[in-house]
Amino acid sequence: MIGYRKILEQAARQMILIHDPDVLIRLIIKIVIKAIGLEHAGFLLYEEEKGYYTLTVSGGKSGTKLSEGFARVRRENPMVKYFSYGYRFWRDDFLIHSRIKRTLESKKMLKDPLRRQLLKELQYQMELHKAEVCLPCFFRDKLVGIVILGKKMKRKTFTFSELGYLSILASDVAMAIENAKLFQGIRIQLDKNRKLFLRMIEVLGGAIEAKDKYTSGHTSRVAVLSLKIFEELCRRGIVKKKNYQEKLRMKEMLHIAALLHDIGKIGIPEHIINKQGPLTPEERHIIEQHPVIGVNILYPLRKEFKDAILGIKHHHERYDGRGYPEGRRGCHIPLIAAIIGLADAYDAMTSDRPYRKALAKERAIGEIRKNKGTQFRPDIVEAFLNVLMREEV
Amino acid sequence: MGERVLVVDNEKEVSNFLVSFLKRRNIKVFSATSAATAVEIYKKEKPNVVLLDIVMPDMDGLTLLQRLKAIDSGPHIGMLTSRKSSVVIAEVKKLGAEVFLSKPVELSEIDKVIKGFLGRDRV
Repeated sequence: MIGYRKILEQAARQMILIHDPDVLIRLIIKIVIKAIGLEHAGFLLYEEEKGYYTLTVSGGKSGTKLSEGFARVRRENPMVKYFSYGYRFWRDDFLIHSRIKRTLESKKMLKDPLRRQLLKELQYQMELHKAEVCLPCFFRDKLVGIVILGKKMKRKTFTFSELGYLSILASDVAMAIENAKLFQGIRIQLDKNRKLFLRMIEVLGGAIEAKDKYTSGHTSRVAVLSLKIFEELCRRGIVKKKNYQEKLRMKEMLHIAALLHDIGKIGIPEHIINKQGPLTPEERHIIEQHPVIGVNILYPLRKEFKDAILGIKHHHERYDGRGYPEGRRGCHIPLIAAIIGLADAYDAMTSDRPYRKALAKERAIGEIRKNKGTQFRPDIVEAFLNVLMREEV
Repeated sequence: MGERVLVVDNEKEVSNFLVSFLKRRNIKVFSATSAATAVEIYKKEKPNVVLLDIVMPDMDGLTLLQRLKAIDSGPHIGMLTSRKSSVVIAEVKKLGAEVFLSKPVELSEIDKVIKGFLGRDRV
């Protein structure tokens, strides 16, 4: 097999694996430049949402590379029209600059002024893009892009077998691009859905604040602080990073749990939540049900939210085992719950409550330090202090 | 006096591209990727045409435009930028730029502008 064919066939096999259209195009251009021995090459990619073709030029001599979003070609451009309207002045699909020039010079052409006009425009466009050859990339009947090939090195001319081969590659490229666009579309949609989902959770978690006038913004503040503590724990290697996906999943569970940690308060009578002055033992008992009520509310999601639910259930446990609902101690408290527990306590201390005014930040930090190892898990306190310190700076 | 064009764009790739694009037309081309060098070249080489981006690292393009016009109001100045706001366009025109091209641009538009400035038509 001829050298360039081998290279291009390998490229064709690999490109279907690339799911980013830009990366794909740059790679293909580079390979074509190398395989055929070109001074430069470029690609005009159709962007549906914009309605025009964007020029991506890569590789080749300096001065032919281009940054994204610099140049474009409208759908009314003669090259686009030539390919997509299906004009055929020759038996093949290519626009070849030297052939256009020859045709324009021949006497035959003079007879048809429209043809002549289009050919002149094509010649001009190709000169602007420094193109020796242009090849269309079709996916079904859609012109996905145009390959622009510059001069060959050492003044060699293109052979028809090369061009034939490249035009087959062009249709593979079109397919790979469509494929990549689909993947990109799915990724964007997934990302949107995820964000929407977290917003919904935030709304749900915030609903409790309608009932408890003192906790405005509490859930989102706890969520933000919890996530920061988590990042710090990762940095300190306390959260073992098994892999990136695992870490992301855990972070998401923490986020959900932090947003919903007080959701169970919906089931607690309003007069107890908003009571001024000390609670009776019965009232205290009722209020201490809120983690378990939260678990019950989330029962339909017990599989999907398993770790988040554990976080909600145990966010009032204490490191020394004197918390509720189960009186778990030390490492038996899920990490998510311990993080939220600390963030929750800090935010509660630094905001006004029915029975007292907000504490100054320094005093709240002092309280947390004092209760390190009794109420709070020591390594989480350390991470928390670091987070605050970083923010001061 | 030959035809001289100064290209000012903070992106090296873009200015390189424009330089090679214009050189093919037998035009003497200078390029600058910062406002300071742009001013220097403007003074020394006295270009007939300047293509200017609004976003520059050391000075915003509007101030640079003003500065260039103050040094010599003769040369034609065309803006070539990714900014699209009509306020900016109006401001730029008031300051003496004759043409405003927004990125992404068709290469034929640049060609037309340059040819218009230099007063010649394509054959």
